[in-house]
Amino acid sequence: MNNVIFIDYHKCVGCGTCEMICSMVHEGICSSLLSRIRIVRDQVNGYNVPITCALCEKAPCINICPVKAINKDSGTGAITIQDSKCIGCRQCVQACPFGHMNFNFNKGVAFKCDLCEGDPQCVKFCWTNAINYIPVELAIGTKRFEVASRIVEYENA
Amino acid sequence: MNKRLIIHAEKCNGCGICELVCALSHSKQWHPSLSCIKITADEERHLYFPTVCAQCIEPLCSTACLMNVIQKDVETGLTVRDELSCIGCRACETTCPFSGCTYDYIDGKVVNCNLCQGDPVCVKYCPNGALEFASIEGAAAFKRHDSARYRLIEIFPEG
Amino acid sequence: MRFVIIGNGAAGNAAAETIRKYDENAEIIMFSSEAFPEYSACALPDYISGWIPRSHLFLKDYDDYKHKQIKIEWGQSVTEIDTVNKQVITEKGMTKYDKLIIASGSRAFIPPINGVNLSGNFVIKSVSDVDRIIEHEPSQVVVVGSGNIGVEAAEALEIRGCKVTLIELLGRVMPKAFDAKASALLYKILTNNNIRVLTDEKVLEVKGLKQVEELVTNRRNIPCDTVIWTVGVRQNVELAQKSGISIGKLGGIKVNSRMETSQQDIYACGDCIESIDLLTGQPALSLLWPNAKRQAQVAALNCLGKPTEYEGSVNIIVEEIYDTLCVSIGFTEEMLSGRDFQVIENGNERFYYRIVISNGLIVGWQSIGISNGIGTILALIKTRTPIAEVKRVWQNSDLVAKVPWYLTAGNFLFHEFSSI
Repeated sequence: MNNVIFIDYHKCVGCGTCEMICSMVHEGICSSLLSRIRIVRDQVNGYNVPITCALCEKAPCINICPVKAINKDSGTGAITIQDSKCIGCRQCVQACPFGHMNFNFNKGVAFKCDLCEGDPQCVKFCWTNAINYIPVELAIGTKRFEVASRIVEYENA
Repeated sequence: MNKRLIIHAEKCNGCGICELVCALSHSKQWHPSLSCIKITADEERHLYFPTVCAQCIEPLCSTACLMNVIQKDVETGLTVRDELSCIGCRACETTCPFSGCTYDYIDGKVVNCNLCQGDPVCVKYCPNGALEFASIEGAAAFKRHDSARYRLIEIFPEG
Repeated sequence: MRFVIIGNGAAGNAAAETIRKYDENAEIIMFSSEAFPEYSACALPDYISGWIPRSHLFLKDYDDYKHKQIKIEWGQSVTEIDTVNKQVITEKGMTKYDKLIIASGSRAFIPPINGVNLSGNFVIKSVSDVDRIIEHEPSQVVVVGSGNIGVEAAEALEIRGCKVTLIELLGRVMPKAFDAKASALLYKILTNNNIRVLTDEKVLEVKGLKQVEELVTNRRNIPCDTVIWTVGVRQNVELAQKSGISIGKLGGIKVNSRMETSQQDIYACGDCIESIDLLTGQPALSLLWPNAKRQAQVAALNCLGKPTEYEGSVNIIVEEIYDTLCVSIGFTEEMLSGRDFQVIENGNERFYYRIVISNGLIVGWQSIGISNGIGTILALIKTRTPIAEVKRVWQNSDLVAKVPWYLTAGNFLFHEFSSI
């Protein structure tokens, strides 16, 4: 089974380091608009939610691409785009249920998280450990434990 | 111009008003088959999805065109046709996976959505909000916000 | 960097335009054996019928080449390619190249039988051919060969006012594009419009004193004043062959997926090459305008140092015959004989389609009278998407809302009488 990106939303402080490092590694400049991982910030309610590829097992973006430019990498499980095949129709942007898929108007191609070939940099540089790259069973287990802890806390309160 | 037609297929109920106003607006005919936006339907399951020219950066229709009349407009970034040169061979119509081209049987030429010079009528008349005219970046951002809200329901149960 | 292009057709021009798009300073020299600016050979029947004027055939005028800084040598045939010194030789002299793109195209074929040299025999390949046909004032015409050009020519001449007979060697009209049922519908459309269609018939000779007076088949004699030969083409590979460039088994110039020939710095594209079939991965001849353009684009990108792979060719025939759209994509049932295949078909007298399936993949489409949604089937063919995958998404109403074009494809594939 592959590793997945697991984000602990409680830990994200919205610093944007992940966006800076992602855009630097992939595009050579620091710009959140060119980052694959994007933080949704709500200043009013004070939350920060990083959104990245959900690594769907049955990804709609793969189906909707009319030229098969989007495929699942058999090694890392990452969903990647072959720029040379992309015709820039932007249907994948509309298909992604999470709003993760983005489009680079200068290059004329779609872009998304590619798990940095199995060594995701955002994970390395997130200093609060909000972003983790762990086996999917561990991710599920962690979540289960979190919810269980809260129930226990509630019962004891 | 970075704005494009964003389709919210879940909101379409197949009323067909977009097809009628589109045909009326550019062909002056109250005839949905002349519309640039088309509804794909599955009546049994009550599924209706609008489809329209996606304004691809590297359009498949352009390669298929037997008269080389389809180009990308340098300023607007839209897929444009030299309508005087089109001979109506319909090769483009056959190639587009999104049913983006329409054969105008009155003129004998093929046309595609040109976003009504920046003020699309279909968007104005859609009663269900299934059509939106916005930047792609904006549309993706909106979806991300929605996504984020879902994920935080546990933290902020009031929403 | 100097790019030399042999040929001024669809491929030659697409290559030149791609190079100019990415490199403002590249030196581009084209050699055109004809003296016309780029024209669409596909539109020639529309000029014969009178649907478009002659000027409409041309996609460029002479000035356009100047505006794009393309130096073009008119009416000059390249006689030799000197691969050692990297230069091409014409009757006027030598031109050196850094990269050479061969886009020499193909020529129409006339079988070597008696009477084909008589005045009144024509092919439809270039503007000059059509000029000659019109000057001849055809009245009783026989069109030999019911491929896509033959059928379009028959329609064009009938609309022009001629009495037309269309002869086909094999058992049905457009045999390489349509299986029996679709072909029968096309036959009806043609005959309903006063074209006499003779199938299973072989032309033996053309008779006449100084010009065409009669065509003799194995079954009858047909009085006529014009014979149009649309029986096929021959690829222009002689120049490449004598220059030592490898020719493939099917007779076209052999290229890899980057359009590179066996000679360093020499590329080839368009009608003159042997391409790879997208579905089978085998060498194939798919001499079509859109294929030529895409191959030329790939060749040009590789010339410019931008490695690009060609996806492979798909046969796509699109014809509008008497206002009815007739489309054939990929393989017919007949082409798959001997292998496992399945057919889904539906329709009636006016709208008919069939989908040919092999190993769970769509490999062919034929339709008469259908216009909307064919692109979805073409996309499924080119992406080799298994039908099971389409069904999985299509069955789920929420999921298909995310992939709307699968609904269109699904309407063809999974209709109520479908066995899939």
